[in-house]
Amino acid sequence: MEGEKLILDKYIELSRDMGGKASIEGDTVHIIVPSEKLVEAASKLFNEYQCDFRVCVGTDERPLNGYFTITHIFTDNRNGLYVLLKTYIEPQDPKVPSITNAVPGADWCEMEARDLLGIEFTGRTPYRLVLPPEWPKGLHPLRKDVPYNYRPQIRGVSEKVSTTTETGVIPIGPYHPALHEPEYFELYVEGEKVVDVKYRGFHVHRGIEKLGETRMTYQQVNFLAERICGICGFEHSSCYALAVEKAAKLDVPERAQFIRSIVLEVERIHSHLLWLGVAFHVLGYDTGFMHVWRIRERVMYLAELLTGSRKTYGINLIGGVRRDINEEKKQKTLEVLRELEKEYKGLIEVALSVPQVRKRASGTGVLPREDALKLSVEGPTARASGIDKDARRDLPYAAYKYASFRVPVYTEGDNLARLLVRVDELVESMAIIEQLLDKIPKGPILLEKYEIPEGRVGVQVVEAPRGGDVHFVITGHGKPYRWRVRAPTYSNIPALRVMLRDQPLADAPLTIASIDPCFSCTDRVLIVRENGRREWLRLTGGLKI
Amino acid sequence: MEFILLTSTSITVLLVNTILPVIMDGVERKIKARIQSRIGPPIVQTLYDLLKLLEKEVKPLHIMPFILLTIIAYLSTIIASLYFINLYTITGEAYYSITAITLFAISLTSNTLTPLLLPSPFTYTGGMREVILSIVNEPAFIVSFVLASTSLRLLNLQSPNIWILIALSISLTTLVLSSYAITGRIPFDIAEAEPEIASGVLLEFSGKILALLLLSNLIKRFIVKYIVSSLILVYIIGAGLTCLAASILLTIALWIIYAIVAAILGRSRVDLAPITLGKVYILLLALSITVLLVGIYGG
Repeated sequence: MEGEKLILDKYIELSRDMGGKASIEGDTVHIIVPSEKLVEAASKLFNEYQCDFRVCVGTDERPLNGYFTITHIFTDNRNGLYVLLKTYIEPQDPKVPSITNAVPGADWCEMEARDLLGIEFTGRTPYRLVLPPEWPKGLHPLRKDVPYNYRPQIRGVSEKVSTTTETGVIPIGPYHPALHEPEYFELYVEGEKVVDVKYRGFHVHRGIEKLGETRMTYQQVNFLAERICGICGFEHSSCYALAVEKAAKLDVPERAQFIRSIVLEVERIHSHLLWLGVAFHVLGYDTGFMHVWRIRERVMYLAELLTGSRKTYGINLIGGVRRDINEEKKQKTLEVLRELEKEYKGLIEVALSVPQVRKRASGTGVLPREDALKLSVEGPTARASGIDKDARRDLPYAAYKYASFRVPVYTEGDNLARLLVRVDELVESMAIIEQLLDKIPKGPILLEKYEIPEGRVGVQVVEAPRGGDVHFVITGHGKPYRWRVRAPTYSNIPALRVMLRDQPLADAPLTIASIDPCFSCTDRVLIVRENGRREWLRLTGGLKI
Repeated sequence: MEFILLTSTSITVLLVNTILPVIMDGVERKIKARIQSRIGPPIVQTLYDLLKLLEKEVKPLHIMPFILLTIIAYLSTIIASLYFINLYTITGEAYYSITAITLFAISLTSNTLTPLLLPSPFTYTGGMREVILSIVNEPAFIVSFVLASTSLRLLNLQSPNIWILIALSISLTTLVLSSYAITGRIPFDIAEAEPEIASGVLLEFSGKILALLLLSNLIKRFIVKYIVSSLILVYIIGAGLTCLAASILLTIALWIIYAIVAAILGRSRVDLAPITLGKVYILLLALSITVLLVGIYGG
């Protein structure tokens, strides 16, 4: 481990070399560089310092300082640091160099900033990512001068399936038995072999960032954040709360942090069990699917015991949590965990001995380590390709520093490796809950009084079941000035192209499922079809005939 | 008089054997549910499903006459096949069994052709998978049936020839294995494979057409087991009405065993299933023929 000062000096020196400046606040290094040095600085952070690229954030800072900005978020996982690389962009003709040649994982976030803020990225081929093709040109919803309730009158059009004479086209989605949310994959096949893949997502973009920045208070955003996902919503609300608390430098009671960590692990267990069930179903092993979901009920019971709800718990607040764990709940939780662990181990041993499960998952959907690194993939997808990263250990938050746990890493990069990572993580999660319940300190669970100063920046990564959730907040007056959300699936979907190519068509649903895709997290414009007649898309008002 | 009695008995049994697969499918769903710690649907659920489908509208297909032709050919030949197995079980005449097997092979071919007529990529993919499986399974089923019949005819129960007994065991194993694979149960349900190709061969069918197709598939499941049961029982207890009843009971027992096996396995991959089956069949059939020849000429 390098000395702390030495590490920080490295980043200060980088900013100086790039003609910029750096400042350090807690675990976050802020580097501001001129836009012409952005690519060089990003390349150095990613390729030389081996920082992990998480996401980029475009912000309309014109009301604050007259500029647009783009902030690339990196994390130095070995040293527990967040590194924010920021540049200012002239407002008249907002252009900034693209970093995708150096950091391929920045592809989507740059195009999202282009769609939503109108920032052009030079040195790359632009395309529309989030907004529908018929969206008016020059209208960028995340700009501060666009009201949240502005609804352009546009007519929805169908996008056609590609036609090609060279290969067969298999459309998977927007509705398909293997997809539980509306996304679209176009698989080009020769016989039963997939030769290429096209992805079209963001069918259900909900504009939540705009809502959070306009209509809601700091506390209300907690509940909105939790509704980003129906599986790992608590990860999002925790991530948001932690980001705001970091920005405001709040000293949150330790007991609240323990409760957050315990509930986060309960959520991981239910999510992984849900995924295992889906994976077994995709593999045609429905008996495994049913039994996994049967034992998952114990976890749903635990969630209800600890939070009052089976899902969408609503206990996170800025400054702590709303629900305590008493001695009775603690004992009951331990008892349920013991039963769950026993049942789980027996069940998983049988399921993994089913020949079709092992044969079909093994050697399929391979994501080599180099591609995983290049695309900055997250969570079990990364760990199954030999990338040893986990925000709970590398960028400790909540009460994880008080728990001892192993981060399962496999090097094969195939569907089986991704399955085994989750299988092992389940056992670790149960152990983490036991440890934290044992060590939970006494005290309050919520800060009663606090202030959130304006203009502060907070960024947090929370290791959700699918990988790192990233929430970035610039504090404003009574509400976030800027709130950026990035779910792990956002980073993992681009890797599917690598994973699906040259693979049998039969394995495509399993490979897609293997990243445990959460499209509702990734997408964020709601299209509702009515009677299949004339359709008018509205940003927040659904579809009118 | 005897002919009328034989025909009326066969037709009565035919009706029973047409309804029985629908009920047995309900039993199978119940068994699976129990294994999976579920309550499951009532045993007559499949019948309800079929009756409901009969009331539903049919999604028009531009090649509907061809589709109807292949499906009716499938259903009629499979029912005719069932009829001749009944005759075989009652009379024990070999030509009835040969006719039944021939009609069954024709019905499977009609069934394999249907999805290939449709332009849907999912149905076509499923259809191609069905063709590959048929190429592997059907010859194995027919050859093992002939080998098992021959072995049974050569076997003298009072002083059994050990070689022929071994040949019989191997050919019966092959017959049971291929009969399981023909039913399209897991791990060999790759032509439907709902999560992979959205139910493949069945995807484009709806309403009455789908009901006919599903009913034919259920009867197919019944026949493959019924052929195996009749073959064994005609030899052991002799042809007749007792044999007929026993064959139906053995078919039900086999259905239950197949249901349990299907519940504890996962789906095989499209490239693995035919290759593995092909290798196993070639090995078993070669072994069975060799041992049988040794039994005939060596003993």
